[in-house]
Amino acid sequence: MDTALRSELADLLPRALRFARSLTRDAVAAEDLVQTAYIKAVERIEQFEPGTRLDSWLYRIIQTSWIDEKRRDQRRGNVISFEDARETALPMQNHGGTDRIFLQAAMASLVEDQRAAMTLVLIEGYSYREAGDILGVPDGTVMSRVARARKILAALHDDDSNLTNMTASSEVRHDH
Amino acid sequence: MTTELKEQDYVLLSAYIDGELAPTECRKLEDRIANCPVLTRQFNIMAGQSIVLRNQSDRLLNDRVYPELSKSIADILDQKPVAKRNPAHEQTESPLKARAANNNTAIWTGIGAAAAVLLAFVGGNWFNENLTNDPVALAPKTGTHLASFSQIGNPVLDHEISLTLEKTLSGDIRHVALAQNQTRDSASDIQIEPLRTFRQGGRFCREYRVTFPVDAATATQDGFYGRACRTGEGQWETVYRLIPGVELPDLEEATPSKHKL
Repeated sequence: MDTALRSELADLLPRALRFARSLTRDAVAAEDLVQTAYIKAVERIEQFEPGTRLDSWLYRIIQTSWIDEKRRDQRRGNVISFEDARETALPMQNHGGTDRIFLQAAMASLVEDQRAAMTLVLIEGYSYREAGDILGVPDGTVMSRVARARKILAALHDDDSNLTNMTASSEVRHDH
Repeated sequence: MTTELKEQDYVLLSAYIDGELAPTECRKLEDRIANCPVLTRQFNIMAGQSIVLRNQSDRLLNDRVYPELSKSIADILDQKPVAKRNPAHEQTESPLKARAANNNTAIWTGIGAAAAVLLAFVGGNWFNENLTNDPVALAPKTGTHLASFSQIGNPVLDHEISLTLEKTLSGDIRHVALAQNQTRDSASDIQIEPLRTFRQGGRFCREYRVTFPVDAATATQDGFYGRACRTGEGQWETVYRLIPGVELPDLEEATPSKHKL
């Protein structure tokens, strides 16, 4: 493998892992997914077209590997994330829905398609078209997934604001 | 003026925040945002949340890329043979096998087969019910297994496992010192590591492994695997524990009612 290409792939590891975590929502599963994707990347390195984005190419491999993994999981039982298992409510603590921890938990509550689209667009900075290429869907689909995800996050903000108001009212009643 | 937003409004606001709207659409939407309090409020929320999420991406980027993984990826890129870690959900063979490589090899080799047998009983709690009353399991072990604490029927250990399953992410290791070993040195350090999480029979379940020192002088470790399902806040019910040296109950003796299959 070309030295520069090898170096670029190695440098992409933290971002690849972050994307894998957004798909799997499980640290261990994400590491497995990244390893699988890198093995496939090395095997298919001849298919990479110089001059195109290596990160998008790697992300696409991660995405397809994850789909393969899920198909296998369907045969052996549904693996879910620890966040799901804890069944805990979002950490609504009157922070107006823009608290980092709150948003991180809220992101984890999105369905996988929306979370993947949000991660690529919002965190990785891809355009809708680029994200669509990685996810194997039209850019219009990315647009609607991101919009739906944002609508859900905004609704959670409203829920939190309501909680804030309720808390404030009860405090007023308590004062009297 | 808009009083209630439509789906299309969310799409437009979202695309606007992402810089995906055409200039003419941008101007139209900006006019609407300026003149409509409902749209203004929604835009402020969505844009504010986007900023926070973007800002935390760097923190996520630096979040725990373990040296082990970096090394493994480097080996893959250099096309060296890679000892790919067994995914937690494919553990038909114990990853502890390598760690407990002293004279426990034969014991751990049997665990893969044991797991295969036990999985047939998942959901019925049959194995656990029998194991906890099984004199073989409760009896002090001989030979290579010299643990200083009981792995079954030990409420302190059970509590620590529950606490770990409730609060610790898969892949993270929680270090605890049990009551009789409170000195918390390397020789008394008990490690509990959740391995994977999944839903089964409407409950959330986790598999884990517990590792503990057997002989401080030789740094020998032993351990076991377990599965537990969550029954309530902080409450985890043991489904089974795979303990080296413990004979499995004879499957033929189990009554159909106990199997619950």
